[in-house]
Amino acid sequence: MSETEKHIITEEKAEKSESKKLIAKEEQLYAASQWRLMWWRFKRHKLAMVSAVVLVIFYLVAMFCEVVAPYEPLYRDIDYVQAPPQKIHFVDETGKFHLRPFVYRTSQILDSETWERKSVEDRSQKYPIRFFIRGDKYKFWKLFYSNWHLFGVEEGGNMHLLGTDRLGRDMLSRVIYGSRISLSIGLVGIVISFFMGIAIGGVAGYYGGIIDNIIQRMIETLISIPGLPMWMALGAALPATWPPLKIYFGMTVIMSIIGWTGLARVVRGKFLSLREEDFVVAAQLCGTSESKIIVRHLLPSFMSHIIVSLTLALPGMILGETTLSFIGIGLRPPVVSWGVLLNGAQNVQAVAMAPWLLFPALFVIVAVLAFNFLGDGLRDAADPYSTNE
Amino acid sequence: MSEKHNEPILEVQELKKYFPVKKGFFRSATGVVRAVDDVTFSIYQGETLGLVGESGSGKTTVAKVIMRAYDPTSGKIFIKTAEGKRVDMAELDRRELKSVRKNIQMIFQDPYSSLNPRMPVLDLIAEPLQAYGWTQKKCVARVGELLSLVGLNPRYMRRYPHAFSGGQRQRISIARALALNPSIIVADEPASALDVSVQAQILNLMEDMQEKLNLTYLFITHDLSVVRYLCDRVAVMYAGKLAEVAKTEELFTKPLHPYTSALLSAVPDADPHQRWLEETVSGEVIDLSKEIRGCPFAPRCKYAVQRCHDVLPLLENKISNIENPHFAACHRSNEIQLKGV
Amino acid sequence: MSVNAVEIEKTENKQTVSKEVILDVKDLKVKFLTDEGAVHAVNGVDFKVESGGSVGILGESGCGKTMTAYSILQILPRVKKIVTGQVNFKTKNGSIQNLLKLEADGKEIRKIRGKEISMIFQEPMTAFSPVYTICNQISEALMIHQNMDKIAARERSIKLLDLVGIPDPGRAVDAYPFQLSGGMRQRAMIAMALACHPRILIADEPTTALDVTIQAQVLKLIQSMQKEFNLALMLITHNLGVIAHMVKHVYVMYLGRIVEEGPVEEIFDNPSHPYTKALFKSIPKLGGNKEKIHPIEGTVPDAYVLPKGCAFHARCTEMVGDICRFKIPGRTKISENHYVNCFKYSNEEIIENV
Repeated sequence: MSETEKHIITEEKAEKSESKKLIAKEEQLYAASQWRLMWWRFKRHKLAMVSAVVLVIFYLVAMFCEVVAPYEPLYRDIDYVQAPPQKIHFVDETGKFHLRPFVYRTSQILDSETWERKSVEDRSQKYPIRFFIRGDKYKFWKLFYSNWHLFGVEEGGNMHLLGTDRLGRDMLSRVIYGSRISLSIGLVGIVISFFMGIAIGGVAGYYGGIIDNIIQRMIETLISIPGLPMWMALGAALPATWPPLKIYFGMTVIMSIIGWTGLARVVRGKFLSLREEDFVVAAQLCGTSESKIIVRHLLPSFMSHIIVSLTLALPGMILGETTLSFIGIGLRPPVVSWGVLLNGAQNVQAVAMAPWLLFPALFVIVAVLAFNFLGDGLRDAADPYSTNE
Repeated sequence: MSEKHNEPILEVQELKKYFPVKKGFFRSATGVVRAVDDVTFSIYQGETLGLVGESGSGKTTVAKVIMRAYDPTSGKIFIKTAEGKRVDMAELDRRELKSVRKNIQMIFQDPYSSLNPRMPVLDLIAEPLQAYGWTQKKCVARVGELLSLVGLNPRYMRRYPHAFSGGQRQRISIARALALNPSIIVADEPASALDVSVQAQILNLMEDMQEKLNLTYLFITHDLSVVRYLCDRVAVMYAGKLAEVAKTEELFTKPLHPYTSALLSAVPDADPHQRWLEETVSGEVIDLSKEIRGCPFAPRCKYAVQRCHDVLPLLENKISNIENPHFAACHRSNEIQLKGV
Repeated sequence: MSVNAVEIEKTENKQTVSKEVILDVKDLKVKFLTDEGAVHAVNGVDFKVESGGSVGILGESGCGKTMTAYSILQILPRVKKIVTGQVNFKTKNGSIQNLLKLEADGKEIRKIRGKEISMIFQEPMTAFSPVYTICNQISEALMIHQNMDKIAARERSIKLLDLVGIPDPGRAVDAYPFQLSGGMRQRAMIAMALACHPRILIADEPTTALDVTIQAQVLKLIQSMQKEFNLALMLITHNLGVIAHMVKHVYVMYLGRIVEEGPVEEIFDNPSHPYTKALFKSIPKLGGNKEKIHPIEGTVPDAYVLPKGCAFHARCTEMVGDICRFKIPGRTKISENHYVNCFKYSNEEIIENV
């Protein structure tokens, strides 16, 4: 090699030192963007992956709730009021096994002697549970009418897999309809928090100094106000005469008012530390404009952290709505949400005599847990470069 | 190593950078840290000037102020633009600065934090080009050119920084600095964070680039052996002030400032037969936030007399040669006999 | 304990050089098991440390020198790993123990740490706990190993700080680590390491993070401590200059193996292994004639995919033949105490085959 080329390391020489040739796989690794790297790390968390699947199912159900739910939320089954979940059978009285599960038409009667309510199955006719059956009519997302349901039984039978409430309404259907409201309130709240958090936190971190000081104190004041009383006050401030949809949006705004503070602090912290990074200084020195620096260098650097923060803030919003509606301050009937459903399970009598009314709580728990596990997995995967350096 | 022309391409005059010390709840300024205190030097076209000092000497701050990453407290920074005009960078506003910046670029010390890990190499090197309005097609071509120039395969431009070792990342940094074809490169300890044997690659590469592209380097480092290898002239800084400025060989063999001599004798040379550590300098660098009267090195200097503590020595040419002056800021340079290597 | 006790504990005989081997490392291997594969951090390392002697481990990052030191004191990272070999250490009372057989957090090894073998690290900031004062941290070692009470330990701490050259030790002892400068902290760390008069001081890049003049002060301090206490030094660094002046015997490491060892003058005058030669040629010199520097060709191989045969063969410009690709070279003697692991020299007496 000539004198002047002594510093050049050609590819053959570099790869000569590796015993195996894993070029294609390596190239994949070398050309992987931060999202790819995050995905690879995330895949290793089994719990987070499972949670992600669970949440996808929940949200699909919420999107298609009219199709998935066997009944309309307001439909009343007069014969089966405040009744426990119906049993699903695979074997009939003759001992024959059926692959397709079926139910008997069940009614509630009042035992004249013990004054107890009992469920009585009418064994004369089997109603197999069918998929993609035509049932009650509904308006899909208030856009068009249809009557396809994911599963159900034929005319004449009833299928209340989670029991009914004190007005005879199917709990399973109401839980499914409720998911749409409960799960989406979180999402809308998050979007609002996202923009507010980035904007305010970004300004605080980017400009520093007095502006940062003022914003910090403002945030601290906001979060020091006790949460529940403030929600209650704001919730009560929403006029009861508002239509349900308006109340719904009012609720999300209320959730976001506190929610953005957490994100703003994360964003501010990240901005402050990133400003000093060499690569940001390098960008400034080669003439890149400030706005370009924010978009190209600063934002992508903490996008992953924002996603994690948001994912972990969602359960808070879901619980918030559930709590407020449970107390009666948030959403009210006829709107169906998990919190509203739990409102109907508020007294001991209900819990003692009709424990199936608490099923919505189970769904809340699963959703919250799933989000937490997902957030944990994302957080562990979030900084794909932390082990590199 | 390079021809010296008589017009300086970069001239720093009486440069000062003071950082306020903020204390208390309202962060009011209670004092200043004199990181750079009245520094004057020139760099000539095609040469490599080494800026040497230990931590607290102010050498990195000088580099950042010259690049206008920090704004100077006072002083002038004259630079010769690509068109040949002489402008004071300290006076320019953002817009004017942008056009001047084309001619002076920086290489950073840490190869891991100076490249945004989330951007592919193409975008990293093309960033300066895009800031000046180059089209995507032209950028790709130029980036390929630059990668070959620094000894990397152009097809690496699709990769992200995590695919590269420290030495390779530093090459990418160098490619980025060369993108706009600057005349001056300010290199802030470009090889210090690298492994010993990789340092040689980067140093040779920089030498090569200087020859090929007629570059001028301001080379900041604390490693004196690198200075000897690469630099034509050396400036030694102590506590924010210049202690000595001279041609490399001259400074190493016949230093005129006690600090330079102490620095040279403190470096262990890779030769067990040489003597070392016969005398060490005691104490540590003074507190930069305190006002100093007299020479900042006086408290630690074994040649100090009363005058050294009272009167600040000026940086003056101590030899009769005007073509190749040897500046030193010491009252006693002509009286004492200092040891070099 | 009174102040005079410090002098009493210095060894009586400073004149004679003790040639007794107190640390004998044989075939040390450390293999980390990660998700991506096995990393052979240390791949068969042998060396000896004599009482009062000084030994240097020279190598670049990734050669395994730090892991070698960590395994002696059983402070390796707590991940899945396999450690084999022997680390035979002769304690003050004469018994010889294989340190690797001791449990990583057991009582036995804790009696060794600080009392018989001490270590100082590169970053003095991270070696000290930020929430305890210096006094607290030095006293801790004294109280554990020498059963001192708090007051006596504090007295001794002040004496130690004075010994290492910290000005105003009475005040410094109550300071927190962040209140001291880098050089002072490093001195305090040396004080802490020497508090119980260990037989060996392991110094892992002790001055890399320090300024040149401070480095000189700290290294001179280590040298004087060695003389005072007949302390053996095991110095780990990549800095050729520091090795040249601080140690008597050098081991050159590359990719987990020792490739050359010998007296320091021999290694510098007559480097034999191609890696050692290439390393010397790639570093600019401060004095002497100005020579062109030549980087070592190639790059360090991936830690997960170790080359077969000689670790350096892929980058070697003096390969003897195919044997370098497939066989690991044994130890060959070049001259008195100077050994090299390279097939270029193995026509001469072959001592051992790995």
